[in-house]
Amino acid sequence: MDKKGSILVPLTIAFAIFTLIALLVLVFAKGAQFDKHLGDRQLELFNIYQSGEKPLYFVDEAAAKSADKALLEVAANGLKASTDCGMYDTFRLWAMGSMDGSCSPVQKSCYPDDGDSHRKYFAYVSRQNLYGYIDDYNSNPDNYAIPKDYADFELVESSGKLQLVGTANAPVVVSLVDVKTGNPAVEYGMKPSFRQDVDIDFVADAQNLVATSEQLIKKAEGDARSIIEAADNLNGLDWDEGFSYKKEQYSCTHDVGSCSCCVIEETCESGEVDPETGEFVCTKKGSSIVPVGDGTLYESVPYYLVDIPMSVKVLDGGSHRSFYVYDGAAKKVVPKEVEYRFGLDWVEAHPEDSSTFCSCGNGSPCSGLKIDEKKGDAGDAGGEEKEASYACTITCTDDSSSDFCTSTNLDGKYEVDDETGISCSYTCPSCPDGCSDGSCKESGGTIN
Amino acid sequence: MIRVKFGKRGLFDIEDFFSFVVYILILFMFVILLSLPKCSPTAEQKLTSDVSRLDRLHAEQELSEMLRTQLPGNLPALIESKKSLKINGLEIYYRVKGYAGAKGALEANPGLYTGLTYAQFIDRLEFLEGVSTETKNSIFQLVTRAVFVKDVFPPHIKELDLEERSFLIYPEVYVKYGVAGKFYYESDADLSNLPIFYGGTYGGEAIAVIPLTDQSKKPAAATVALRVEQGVLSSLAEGS
Repeated sequence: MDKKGSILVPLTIAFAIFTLIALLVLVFAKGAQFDKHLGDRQLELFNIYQSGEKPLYFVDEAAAKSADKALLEVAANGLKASTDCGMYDTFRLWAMGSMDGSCSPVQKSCYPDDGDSHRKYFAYVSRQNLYGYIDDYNSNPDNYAIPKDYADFELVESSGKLQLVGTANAPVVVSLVDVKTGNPAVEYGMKPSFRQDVDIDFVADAQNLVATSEQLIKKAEGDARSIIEAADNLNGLDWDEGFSYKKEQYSCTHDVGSCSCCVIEETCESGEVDPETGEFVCTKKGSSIVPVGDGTLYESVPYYLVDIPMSVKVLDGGSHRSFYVYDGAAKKVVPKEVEYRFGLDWVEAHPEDSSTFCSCGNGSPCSGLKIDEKKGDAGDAGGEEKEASYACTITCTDDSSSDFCTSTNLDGKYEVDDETGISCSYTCPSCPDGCSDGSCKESGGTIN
Repeated sequence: MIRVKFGKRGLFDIEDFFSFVVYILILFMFVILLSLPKCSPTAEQKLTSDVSRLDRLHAEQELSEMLRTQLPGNLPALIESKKSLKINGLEIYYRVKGYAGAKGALEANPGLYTGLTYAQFIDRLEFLEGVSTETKNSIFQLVTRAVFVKDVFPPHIKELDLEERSFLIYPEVYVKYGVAGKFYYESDADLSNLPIFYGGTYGGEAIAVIPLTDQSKKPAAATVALRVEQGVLSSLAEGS
């Protein structure tokens, strides 16, 4: 054997031994490392997807309940979050009548279909309801936390149907924990979103309600009831035909000019000089009317304020549409009918029946003053019956007249009605001699 | 000593060449062997999948589907039609305590299921008035059974030497309202003391959470647990 040929055999043997040792080491090492089942990783991924489905499903269901609850609340509030027209009892007013500073009727409209405020209101209430459910879900630490931040949360129309849609800003994060290290190995995030049909098309209902309501304004009771009867059961709406038609009389007072004010001053018609003292002694007293300046001339315009509270339910076959909600007062879940509640209000002025009166800060209206011819006996001055020349009682009926009351231009006391704030009464501070409290008018007092 | 004969001039001839080829092939075999896992009973075990986890995943998906399932409008009739199983000509009735009362209550309250999903039914069942808790549990059992028990069908199971046999997938659903406390409703199958053979195997568990209308409960959420049972039903009289 030559030298070159002799190298191969020992080399082969050495290599074979090395390979066998390596084989043994690697096989046993590999066996130790093989600590997972086939498909473990894939199974974990499926589990993560499924775990993520749970909060998404909860959001879907909660959104449906939130929308139902919101419908009840929004309808009961007359589809308005707030109103500039005020309230009538517990009804939000869609229209409000009033008298302006010159006692002319003014009609203000606050209908819900003005812009998309009623859509936003519904979305807002739904969102608050949903957040309540999410809080409940997140209160369980075993659940993957659902984010509460929804930028896209709105009411949309799709294929003629109203839908509440929302997408969370942040995802629900589901973690896959590494069995060996205990650290999150994979994080899977899913943004909760929903598209929930709204069971009642309150946007279309609002249009129908407003159209009928506009016809009612300034209608007499009989005409108003006829309009409601005609609208009843149309467009799936059941109007309450037994609504109350409340008509109350008030008066509006406003400044229309000036008037003259006078006082009665005592005069001496005849007298003589006391010889002992040398002073003049009046033997016959008299009276005269003396102007003291200008007062304000007011006009009082009577008007009627009409209020109609309306209740409209949504028809569902032969009954009314209702949703189950938790009633906090009854402390149980009850079916509650969807009911649109709102009020209408307007004024009917009657300027033809208006009257005027003069109000004096000092003295009394000159036109109302008279001098009693029986007076004038100077010796009996203290016991004379004087005629009242000022008002004992006045009634104010609107804001402008409230100002009048507070002006205390009759330099007496006044009272403002705490409930309405629009009426006051003037009480005589004292009655003249021969005239008792409460009978001043009867004894000749003049209504100013 | 093995002698490898080289060519006359000390270079590779054709025999040397093939010797190296064989040698390299053997090396490749080693490499291939090295890439295989250890062949032992443990390794064989690792080569299988984790069936219990697959079952759990299956149960999760099953529960997810169940909660979304729309309940049929003819539920009382469906319950009546599914109150028994027919195995080998033998009619076997499920045992439900207060069957008549539960079915009557369901018929009197169509709002409990009409147009609702199974999850909504669970929600609404809780605040059903004028019905005792026992009757509610019976209603729950009846509805769950009627809608979700997969009907009996011949599975061609050969292990059991029975003339006729049937395969039953029975979902056991448990509900509790809120987080704490025990499960409130149970739709457990009561197949004991029946003239049948029942060989049941556990098929995985799952839990889901649904929102509740009754917000007096804090949290206003119900936990629904599903335990899937797979079993073989057969008539003992005929089969054994």
